[in-house]
Amino acid sequence: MKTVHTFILLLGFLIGINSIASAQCKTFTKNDCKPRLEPYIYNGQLNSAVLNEGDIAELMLTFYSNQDYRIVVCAAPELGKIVFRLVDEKGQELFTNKDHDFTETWDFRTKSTQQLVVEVSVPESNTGELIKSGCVSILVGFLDKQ
Amino acid sequence: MKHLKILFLLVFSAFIVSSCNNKKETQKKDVLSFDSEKELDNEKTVKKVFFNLPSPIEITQTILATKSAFNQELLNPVSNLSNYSSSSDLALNFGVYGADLCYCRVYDQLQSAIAYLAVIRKLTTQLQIPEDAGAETINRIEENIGNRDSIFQIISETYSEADGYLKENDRELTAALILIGGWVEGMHFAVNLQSNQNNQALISSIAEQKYSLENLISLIEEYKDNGAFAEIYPFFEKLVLVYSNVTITRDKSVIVTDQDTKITSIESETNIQITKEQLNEIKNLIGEIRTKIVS
Repeated sequence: MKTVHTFILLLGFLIGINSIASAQCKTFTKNDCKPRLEPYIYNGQLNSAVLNEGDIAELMLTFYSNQDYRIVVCAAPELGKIVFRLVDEKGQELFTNKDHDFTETWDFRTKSTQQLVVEVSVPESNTGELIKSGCVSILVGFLDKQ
Repeated sequence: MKHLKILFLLVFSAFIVSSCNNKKETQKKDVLSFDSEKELDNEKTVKKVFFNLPSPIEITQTILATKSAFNQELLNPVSNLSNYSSSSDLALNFGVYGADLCYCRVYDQLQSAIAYLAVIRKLTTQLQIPEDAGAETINRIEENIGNRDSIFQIISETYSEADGYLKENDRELTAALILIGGWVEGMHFAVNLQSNQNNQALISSIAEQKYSLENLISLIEEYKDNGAFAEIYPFFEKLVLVYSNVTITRDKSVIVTDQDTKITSIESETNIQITKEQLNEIKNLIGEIRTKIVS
């Protein structure tokens, strides 16, 4: 009976940790990532998750013609240098931050409307330590051109 | 021995919790079935996929850019607010009224914008989005309604606070409904303005919503059997069918990156083919979806 109680307590503790991690992710996104969008207008959609090293996340979105966009990929520092790529619907790589010192912010200007994918990869550390995990957010902003 | 048992339970529990989360989120990346011309990407395991829709600000700015005239009659009357009681109706119309607010503000209709702002405030309360997540930014909208430079930033904050709060509290369905309500209202503006004005830029804009519809369907697919979508999901399926025959072809993009300004320009030419019949079908379907949402 005591073992069952212990088990239930531990399970609740772990589920609680998960919720706390999610809430911290939102706070991290709001405080650390969102300011990097300015002066672009945030599209208002929270794209954040707790990822482990080696994980990939994707954001599917549409860039409209003659519009300027900013993409901010923000990650907990312990995850290392995050790779983000912009890929079109045909798989053509339009941008990779590997070519720009793993920058977390980049601006885009589109001539025609198209469906795009922002692909974010968390590097594997290969250090043999416990698997690292942390918050990763992808934020999108557009310019008010009026 | 006792410590070993506790350690075993700890590891076992971690495994169970982790497996449950991964089961929900891990998916193989398939070819996007919407367009048969897309190439098959290298198969890889993607932990999390997000689908974004254009924000109401972006939609209404796109409409403004087509030089369409403002039409007050397209707005959902504020008096309809009393018709909405279920959480799904409230969420869908939060999106609708948000789009109405942006439409009014983009066209400098300040008095109307203030009226819609009051509606948004009430809906925030009815959706049980706490004051610190919603009301504070709504107050700022009120104070800055005449200031174009800051107003859209603040409106986007209202949406982002609501979106973030809802997702953090496992109310992803409500967050999705708000986005969908805004998208439908934006399409409602576009298809009705186009039929009155025969505006080529607007026609192209309507055709290009094929892409955002694809994201919308992906966003709501897991909820399609949910009561909130039961009435409108079949209309979205019909919309997908109509758009599957709308052809958008694009040349390979020419990429120009400016290292100093940190801007990458993506240049390509697009050819859009959409018939009058397809436009009418889209208009009718959007009309039916919108009627079910706002009535």
